Formats: sequence, C-alpha cells, structure tokens
Amino acid sequence: MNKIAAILMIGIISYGVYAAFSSTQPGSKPFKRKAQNDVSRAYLAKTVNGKKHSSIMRGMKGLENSSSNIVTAVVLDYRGFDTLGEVTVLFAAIAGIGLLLGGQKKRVITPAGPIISSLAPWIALFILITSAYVFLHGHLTPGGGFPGGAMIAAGFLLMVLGFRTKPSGVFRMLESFAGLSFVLVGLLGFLKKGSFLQNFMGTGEMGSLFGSLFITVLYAIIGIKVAAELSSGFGSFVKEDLEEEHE
Amino acid sequence: MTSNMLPFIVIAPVLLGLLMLSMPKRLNWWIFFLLNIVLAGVIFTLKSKGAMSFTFQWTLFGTGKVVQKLGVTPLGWFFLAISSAATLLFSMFSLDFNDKKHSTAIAPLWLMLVGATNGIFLSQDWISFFISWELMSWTSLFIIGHGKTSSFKAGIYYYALSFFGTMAMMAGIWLLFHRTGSWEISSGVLKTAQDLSSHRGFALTVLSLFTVAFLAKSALFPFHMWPQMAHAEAPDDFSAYLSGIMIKYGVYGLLLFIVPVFALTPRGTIKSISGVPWPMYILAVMSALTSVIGTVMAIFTNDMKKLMAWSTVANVGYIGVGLATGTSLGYAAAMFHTVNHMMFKGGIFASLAAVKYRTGEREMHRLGGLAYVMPITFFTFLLGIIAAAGIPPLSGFNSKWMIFQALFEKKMVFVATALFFASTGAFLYLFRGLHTIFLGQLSPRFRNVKEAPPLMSLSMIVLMILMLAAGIFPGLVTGRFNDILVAAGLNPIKTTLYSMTGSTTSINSTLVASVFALAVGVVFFLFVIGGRKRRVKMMDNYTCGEDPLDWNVGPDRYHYGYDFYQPIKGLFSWMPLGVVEKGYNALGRFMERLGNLVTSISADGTRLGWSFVLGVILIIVIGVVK
Amino acid sequence: MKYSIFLIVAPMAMAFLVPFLGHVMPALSKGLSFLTALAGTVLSVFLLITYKTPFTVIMGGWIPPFGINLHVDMLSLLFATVVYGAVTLGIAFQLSSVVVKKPYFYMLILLLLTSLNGMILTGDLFNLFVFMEIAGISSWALIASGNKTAGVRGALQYMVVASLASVAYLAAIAIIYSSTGTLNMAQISGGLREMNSAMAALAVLLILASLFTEMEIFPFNSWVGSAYRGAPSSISGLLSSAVALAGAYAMLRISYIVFGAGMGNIIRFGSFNITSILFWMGVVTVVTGEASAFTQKDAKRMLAWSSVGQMGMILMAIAIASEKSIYGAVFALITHSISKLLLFMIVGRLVSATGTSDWTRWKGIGRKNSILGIFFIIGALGVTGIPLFAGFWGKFTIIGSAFKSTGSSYLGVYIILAATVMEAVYFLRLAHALFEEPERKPGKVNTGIVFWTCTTLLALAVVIIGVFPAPLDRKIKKIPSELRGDNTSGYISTVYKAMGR
Repeated sequence: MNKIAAILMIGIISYGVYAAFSSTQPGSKPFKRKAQNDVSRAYLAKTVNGKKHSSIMRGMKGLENSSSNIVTAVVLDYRGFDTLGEVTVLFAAIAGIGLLLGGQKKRVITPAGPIISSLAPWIALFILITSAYVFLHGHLTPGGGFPGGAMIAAGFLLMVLGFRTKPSGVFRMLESFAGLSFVLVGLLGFLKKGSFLQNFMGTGEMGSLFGSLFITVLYAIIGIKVAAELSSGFGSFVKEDLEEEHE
Repeated sequence: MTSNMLPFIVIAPVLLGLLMLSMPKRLNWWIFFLLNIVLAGVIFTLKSKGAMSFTFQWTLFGTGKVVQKLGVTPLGWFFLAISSAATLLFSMFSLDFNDKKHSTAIAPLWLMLVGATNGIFLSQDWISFFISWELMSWTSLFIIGHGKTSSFKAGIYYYALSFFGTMAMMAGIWLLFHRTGSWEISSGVLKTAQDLSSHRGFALTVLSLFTVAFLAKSALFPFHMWPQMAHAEAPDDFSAYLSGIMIKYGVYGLLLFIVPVFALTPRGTIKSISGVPWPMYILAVMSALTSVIGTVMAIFTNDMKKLMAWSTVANVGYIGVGLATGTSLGYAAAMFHTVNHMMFKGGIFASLAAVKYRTGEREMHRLGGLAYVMPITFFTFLLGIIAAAGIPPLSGFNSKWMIFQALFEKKMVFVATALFFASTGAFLYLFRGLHTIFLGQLSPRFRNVKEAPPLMSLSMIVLMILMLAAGIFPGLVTGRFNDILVAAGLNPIKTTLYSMTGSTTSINSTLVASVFALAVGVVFFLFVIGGRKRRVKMMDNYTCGEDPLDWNVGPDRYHYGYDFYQPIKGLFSWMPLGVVEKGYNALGRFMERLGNLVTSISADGTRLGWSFVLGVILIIVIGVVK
Repeated sequence: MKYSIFLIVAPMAMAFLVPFLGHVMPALSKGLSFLTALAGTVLSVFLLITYKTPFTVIMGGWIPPFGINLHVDMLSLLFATVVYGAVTLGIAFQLSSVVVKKPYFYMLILLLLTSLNGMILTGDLFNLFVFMEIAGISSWALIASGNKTAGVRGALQYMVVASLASVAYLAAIAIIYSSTGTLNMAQISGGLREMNSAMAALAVLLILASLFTEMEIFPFNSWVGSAYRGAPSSISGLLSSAVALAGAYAMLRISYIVFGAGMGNIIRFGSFNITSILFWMGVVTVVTGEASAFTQKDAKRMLAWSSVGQMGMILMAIAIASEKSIYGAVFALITHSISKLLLFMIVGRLVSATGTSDWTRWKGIGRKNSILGIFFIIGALGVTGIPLFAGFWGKFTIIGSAFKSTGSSYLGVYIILAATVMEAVYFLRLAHALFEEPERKPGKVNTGIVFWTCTTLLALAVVIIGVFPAPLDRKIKKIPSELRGDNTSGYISTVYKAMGR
C-alpha cells in the first residue's frame, strides 16, 4: 500500500518537474537566471564587500575572507549562523538519545579478541592525528570539523570496543564547553565588531595554515563538539563497568 | 435616574452573578430575589423618563469605530417590563422551591442570564446585541444541564441549534455592517428595507440569516424539536422561565428587525401572496406548521413537562403567525399573546413544579386527584389551561381572537385553517394534563401531600390574578401597544380598557367576563341553596358502588391516565412526524463518520504516506481548478 | 535593537550548558532553564514596548543577501513574546508536576525555544529550514519522552510526515535558489515573480506541502492526534501554543513576502491559483478538524484536533489577504495560544490525577475542584470565540473580512461558521461533564502554587483580553502595514535599506 503511495508521489513530482522544466514561458529557471541577484558569484569571487579582484591567488593578503576552500568559506564565514544551527541539530539529536535511552539497560559487550585490543591504541592514535589534520586544514582542503569530529569519535569507539577505555563523563563536559565556546566566539564578534559571528580575528595570507584563524578556531570547536557528542552518544548504549569483563 | 441606569441593569446582574459563584446556595437565592425586585423597580420607572440612551464608544482596528448604544425603545421597554415582572415572580417562586432537598446551584448563572436578557432588550446596536445574545446562550446551556448527564444532552441539542443560528446572525451582522457602515440596528432596518427594491438578493440573504437565528431561538419550524427536551429536562423552577421568557428572544428579534423591514417597504415592491409579502407568507406557513406539529406531539406525550413544552412550541407558532401577517392587528396580537403565554405558561409550569416539589413525580399517569390536597396549585393550573386553550374570560382568548382577526384581514385561509385545528386540538392535551394530574382518584401515596409553600403559592396567586386581569380588561395590555406600533411603522389599533377591535368586529371582553361570572354565580348560588348534600368517598363515586379490589385493581391503577389518547393515535399516523429530528440525527452521524475517518488515518502508520500524497494531489487540484 | 539576537542565542547557550551541569547539579540546571526562559520573556517584552519601526539585524557581518539577516518587526516581536511566555509557563508547569523529568528534557525545551524564535526572527529561507529542523527534532524527542508506547508512536508519526515535509521544503529551496540566485526572503519576493511560472508553481507547491505539515492542515495533519496524545501535557500545550504558532508565522511570512500576496489581490503563478488553495485547504481543515474533535473521547486528542480547526480558520484568513484578515489572524493566533495552553495545563493535571485521559471518566471532578472547572470553561469559551472572552475579536474580524474581499467565497465562510457549531458542542460537553454526577466520589486534584499562578495568569489574560482588547489591538494594528511588500516601512524596503540600496 505504501509502495503505491511512494510510486504515485514520485510520479506526480516527476511529472511536475518535467512540466516545469520543459515549460517555454518567460522567466528564469534553474541554471538559467539573471546574474544580478547572484549570491554565489560573489562568494566565489569574494566580492561580497564590494572590492573587486582580478584573480584570487595563493599568498594574497587583504581579502575579505582568506579561506581557499570555498565550501568552508560559505559554511563558516558567510553563513556561519546556519552552521551554528546545524551544530545544534546534531546536539538536539544526541540529547534526544540521551533523554530517551538514558535510563535503559545498556548492552553488555563481549571482551574483544587479542587483535583488536592490542591494535586499538595504535590505530586510534593514527585516527586522532589524521582527524586533527582534517579539521586544522579545513580551510585549505575538503574536510573540516564535522568529518574530523566524526573520525575522532570512531577512534574512541574503537578504543571502547577494544576494551581500552570506558565511556566517561568527561565527554559531557567537553560537549557543553565546546558548544558554549562557539556561542562565545559569536558573542565576541558581536561585542567587538557589532555583528554576531563576525570575523574579529582578521584575515591573513591565503593558503597558509593559520591564514584564517577564525575558521580554524571554529572548526576546532566544532570538531571537539561533534566528537564529544557522538562519543557520549555511545555511552548511552554501552554498559559502564567494563573493568569487570576485562581480565 | 440617569441614563447610567441602563448599563447598570445589564451589567450589575452579570457581575453579581459571578460573585455569587463563591457564596452559599441559600444566600444566592435570596440575592437573586432581591436583585430582581430592584431591577423590576428600576425598569418600571424607566418608562416615565421617556427615550433614554447610553452610548459607549471604542475603536478597534478590526471593527472600526463602534458606538455601543443601550436605549429604551417602546418595543424594548415592553419586553423588558414583562420579562422583569415575570422574573420577579419566578424568583419569588424559586426562593421556596430551592430548599435543602430540591436546591440546584443555578442561581448565579440565572442572574447572569437576567443581565444578558436585559442587554438583549436594551441593545440598539448589533455588537451589544450579539454579546448579550451569546452570554444568554451559554449560561442557559449550563442551567439546563445543571449537572445531570441526561439534562445536558437536552441542553446541548438546544445549544447546537441556537449556536447555529447565532453564527448565521454573525454573518448577517457583518453583511449589514459592510453595507451600511454602521453597527446601529435602526440603520440596518432602513437600509435593508431600501435594498428590497434595489438589491433584492442581498436584502433577502440578510433577512434569511437573521430569520434563521431567530427561528432557532424561538423554536419555530424547522427548529421546533428542542423545547420538548430542554424545557422538560431543565430544573423545574427554571422551566417556567425557559418557556415563558427565553422562547421570546426570537420573537423579539423578529419584531425588532424582520417585521419593521417589511413594514417600511412600500406596497408592491415585493410580490405578495394573499396580501402579505411572500417571505412573510412563508414565515406564516412555517409558524402554522409549527403549531400543528406542537399540538399533535403534545397530544401523545405522557411526561407532563414535555407536554407543556410542546404546547409552548404550538403557542410560539401562533405568535409567529400573528407577526407574519404584517398588519398592526397581527403585530399587536403577537405581542399580546407573548404576554399571555408568559403568564399562563409560567403559571402552568409553576404549578407543575409545585406538584413535583411535593410529590416527586413527573409522569402524569402516576399522579391524580391532587386537586383535593393542593387547591391553589390546582386553580393555577386550571386557569392556566383555560387561558392556553383560548377560552374566555381568560387572557388567552383575547390574544387568539386578535390573531384570527388579523388572519381574516389578510384572508389567509390555509393558515387560518391549520391554526384553528391546532388551537382546538390544544384543548385535548390541556385537559388531559388537568384530568390526569389533578382530577380523578388521589393515590393513597399522596394523601398527606401538603399545599405548596407560601412564597410559591403567592407567586401562583399573582399569576392567576394577572391572567384574569388580562382576560377581563384587555386594554390593560393592548393600551401599551400603540406607541410600539407607531415606532415600527404601523398604524395604531383601536382598543379601550374593556374591548378590542379586530378587522371584522369588536368584542367587549369585560362584558363576556361578566356573563361568565354571572353564570358561575348563578350555579354556585344554586349549589349553596340546593338540597341536602352528602359527602361520598371518592372511590365510591367513581366505581358506582363496586369494589375494584374484587378485580385485583387497587385505587391507584384505576386512574386512567396512561397513553390517554391512544385510540386516536391512528388518526395521525399518516403525518411524517419526526422527519426533522431524523434529519438532525443523520447530520450528526455524518459528522461522526467524517471525524472517525480523519482520525483513522493516523491509527495505522502506513496510511501516513497516503495522507501526504492525498494532500499534494488536493493542492494541485484546487490550484488548477479554481 | 541588536540585542534581539539574544532571544535566539541565550537559550541556545544555556542548552549547551545543560549536559554538563545536568550531570553535576540537576536541580540547578532545571532552575536555570526556567530562568533563561523568564529572562528571555522579559527581554522580548522590553523590545516590544520600546519598538518603533522594523529593523534588520545582520549576522556574520555580511550584508544580506550574502549573509543571513534577522528581521524584527511587530509581528516577529509579538510572536516571539508569545512563544517565550508560553515556554516559560510550560517549563514552570512541568517543574511543578509530580512527574520528574531529567535535565535533558529541559534542555530540549530550551532548544525548542531557540529554534522557534529562530524561525520567527529570521529573514532567510534556508535559515528558516535549519530552525524548522531543530524544532522538529526537539519536538520528536520531547513527545517521545512521555508515556512509553503512546509517546514513541506519536513522535514516530510526526517524524515520518515531517521528514517528507523537510524534503519537499529543501527541494523547493533548491529550485528557488537556482532560479533566483538568492536565499533572502525579501529578495525572493521579486524573484519569484520573474521566475518561469511553471517552475514557480512547482516550488510553491512543495513549500506549501511542507508548511501545511507544520501548521497542521488537512490532510498533512494526520500525526496530530497521536503526537499530542503521547506527549507529556506540558509539551502538548507547547506544541499547540508555540510550535503551531511558529508554523502559522512561517505561513504568514512566506505568503506575504515570498509569494508576494498584496492586500486583497489573488496570487497566481500561471494557471495555479495560490489564494484559492490556501482558502479551500483552510475550509477543509476546519471541517475535518472539528468533526474529528467532536468524535474524540480522549481529551488530549480532542484539544489537538481543536487546534487543527483553529489553524484552518487562520489559513483562510491568510488566504483572504486583506488588512482586517491579517489583523484577525494574528489576534486569533495569539488568543488561541493563551487559551489552549490554559486548557492543556488543566487537562494535564486532570490526567495525572485520574490516571486516564478519557474525559468521560472525569465526571464530577469539577464539583470538588470548582475553580479548575471554571478555568476550563474560561479556556473553552476563549478558544470557541464567545464574546467577552479572548478568542472573539479575532474570529469576529476574520469572518467580517471574509465577507468583504475578493479572495474568499461566501460558501466557504458559511461552511466554517457551521463547523464551529461542533466546536462549541464538544468543548461545552466536556466542561459540563466536569460538573456532572460522578460515578465514584471525586478526589481533590493535586495542585500547587506554581500551577495556580500559571493558570490564573492565563485565565485572567483570556478574560481581560476579551473585555478590554484595546491594548493588544494597539500592537497588532501596526502589523498589516508592515507586512506589505511595497510600502516604505514594509518588510522588503527595510531589508533593502540594510542592503544599502
């Protein structure tokens, strides 16, 4: 019954989309629009504040935004408020898990075999280094805080499965303070420059590691937050007294 | 006395009623009684001050500038006076009725209702009218329900119909406001009368909307089904108020808005049937139909309160016919019958309440012979039904006579015939009530029943006096009508203290009453000077010397009261009675099915997907089709 | 003023603090949650009182449309105040209840508060989406935290339909963004008119499907019964008075700004008539909502469907698009929030006192707890729109505007008027049942000073607004002119001013 509903729905929307795209009436359509309102062009050319550049090259200084990763520039600088919202979405989801599963009996995991328990710390170390790399280089290469944080959480999960560590309350603390730091950064921007989440740390050299401090700081905060959230999420599922099982 | 008295008589009862919610019941009934004395006093002195008005202005973005106006018009004052007098009598009655055993908690609500009633009769603008109307509706709902599930079912039926009418009135009020730019009732009347010539459709829409509201409230066809439930289930002392006063709100509305519109329209603007504009003719037919239905249903009821409720329906039918004729005679007759009905129905319900108070019984066939133990109650009931049947020398005859005169004037044959049938049929059920409850054998259970308590008896005596007065001296009431008629755009009627003048002839009621009195006097004289009398036991009289115990029938069961008119029921089986009720029930069931269908979508999670698809399809369809 | 960002940011910050604080000092975290909501209420009331003209607040330092902006005008401020007030009272009510909730619960309420205010204050279409998502997630978790099976079922149903709605909204944003090149609501208003009308119709269709889900319009509202039933009563109250309010706000903004509804004209995209969609969906919603509420034996479901009915009437008012109808819609929304919250609080207490939410088993409770019964009557009359109670003026104005404009059909209005008869019936039925003869001797319902404070405040508000609507009227009457797309103090020109054009 539901399959029919789904097929019907797809059919209707497909027909609608087809009719819309093939309509020959005047007016702008996706990918065929007037350039004057174009926001994305300004993001690409970094001309939001009006200054024009002939080209954007590595090593340039004095740009309004010094991140060479365009996606990062949009996510954290131009539309940082949305990202704060996204962070909050994840936070709300984990909070929901904590609220609903908090009091439940947790699963007991069986002790891991020798391979995992001995390799886990090493692999986790590599994972930690890599993810730190990912979010420190968020403004240069694809990646950033979100994937980095998720990787850290994966590393942590590996450690837990390898019975090397147990979920602890320190993650809750990290979660809270990371979140507060984000808001604090935004407030600092508000106090110093007049607008919430405005870049008050200035822009440096395009392409250098610490060229856009603002973005790096924010990504670090996001990375820590995501990692802490996902890790404390695991804590809702897994039984705490692993020491008894281990050895 | 300044014009500030006007908001006082509207707002003071409401506020005091709210305060009374926190006070003990007994105190409440005393406050209720005392305030009614004050109100009646204030209202009767208002008359001497001439036309007074009190305005209160405010502006809201949504409504624009609103000038709320309370004013004393001849029509309004008339209704105000009769309702406050009647309420005073009923409050005196209630004071004794609500002792420890029978007391209900309705006094605060009733007082608020009194305030709302005063508001309705004093409002000169639609906003005040509407506010009072709605306040009246919901307070009366809670009074009728008075904490009993079965009573509430009756009450909610009444309220649903009434609220439906109220919503229609809201639509009508807005249409009038958009047309005239003012909230005043009088400008609405004028504009609608003009519109009957120029914007006929619009005027008829507005008139229909208001008529629906007033028909629903006054229980005219097709809204005639609710009194038999509501009046019967209401607290016994309140039934008198319901049947006497509340049913008249719709009549007031018709007299306030509908009738003047047609009176102001020049002759020939709108097609007429039998000399009456066709919308009014339809109203007359519906009213006549209401009377017939009411009468027939009353004949077959066993519950005494239900029976009297149907009688009320029939009587409102007469009033409706009267005002639908559109002549000054008809208008006057309608108002006269309003007053009379208030008195005689009030008296009837009061005596029924007294019977219930003393015996605890409501079913007629379980009672009998109470005339021996409750004479004042019996006399009230007797005079009440004589008045209701329209027999001289009591008041009912005068008003019914005037109604028929109005019908003759307009030569409305069909309506007159139906009304005649209803009017004579009334005697059947009225007498049945008298016989079954008060005449016949007194059951041994009730041998020790006492007469009604003093205040109840007093109010019943006053009602009897009033019924006789209006019957013998019609001019006492009809003399008030001429300023009302002139204000409504009609010609005054010829009337003196002793006589009424109709379209074909005039009748001197005092003379008629004197003849009756003479006849009664002669018979009584003969009785007194007659030969020796011997007191016989009641049962001996009835059974002609036989002893019913021989046939295993106790004196109780010998009293023939149950299903009194069963032999003639077959005569009326061809009538499609109950059609309207079946219609309402079907509507209710349809709504239930719709609701269940909608809520069932969420009962099973897989249907949620369908609902979304349905929604998208619905949006597309509406967007493209319209 | 720029400080309006704190309306969004402050509860967010407090919410971030709760996981740690809640573990260490739970009682403190709950108390701080309440204080944050209260402080926010005070701030928004202050902003409301000192408000003069609409203004824009820029986020991130980038002027719109490149950056996100908040748009603050009388409508946003009024609704933000109502949301804050409702949530503050909701938190207080839950704190005073015998059921103890974990600190995460209050954190999610704070997140709900953030997201609803974000929805109300934002001027950017995608930002609206993000906040809608946060509101959704918080609501689902809060609903599920009620009763075990009913709560989960309700949350799941809401989640399923809301997810479909999110996808639709996102698709619409994609179409609009790639056709007009901007996400700013004020800019899209002009852009939508320049779009190919078939594309515009498609985008509008998707947005409407999504907004209707949020606003509980038939048939997207199938989740309503289970969700309100399964949620804790404080959350049901908030769903009705805050979440549905924000949904209606989104509908208002998007209809008037994005779709470009003028005052009294009919919006068409090609042959797709938007005005009549809004109007007739509203009518259908009223009829089905009231009919459903009429059949309910469960008090919470009954109130839920009653909200649906009210939202249908509001949608009709939005469709009519005249000054008076906007005024009426806003008035009705605000008074509905107040009355419904009161009703849910009372129902919540009755549910926990009697152990059942089947109202036929509540007979006679009003006899022992008469003030509770009277407050219920006040709330019921407030929702139904009886004169002298809050809901009357909104409903009265809406009906009046419906008879005067071109966008409406008299038949639709008559249908709605007839459907409201059912509303009066089922509300008064329950109200009277509270005072009917009980089967067993009723006990006294457990109440406390907090409960009485909250309910008395709300009941007084209902009666006072009903009798003296002037103060509220003074605020609301500024809104229609500000909502216009073309006037100098209107939405679009304010944003353009911030853009420096």
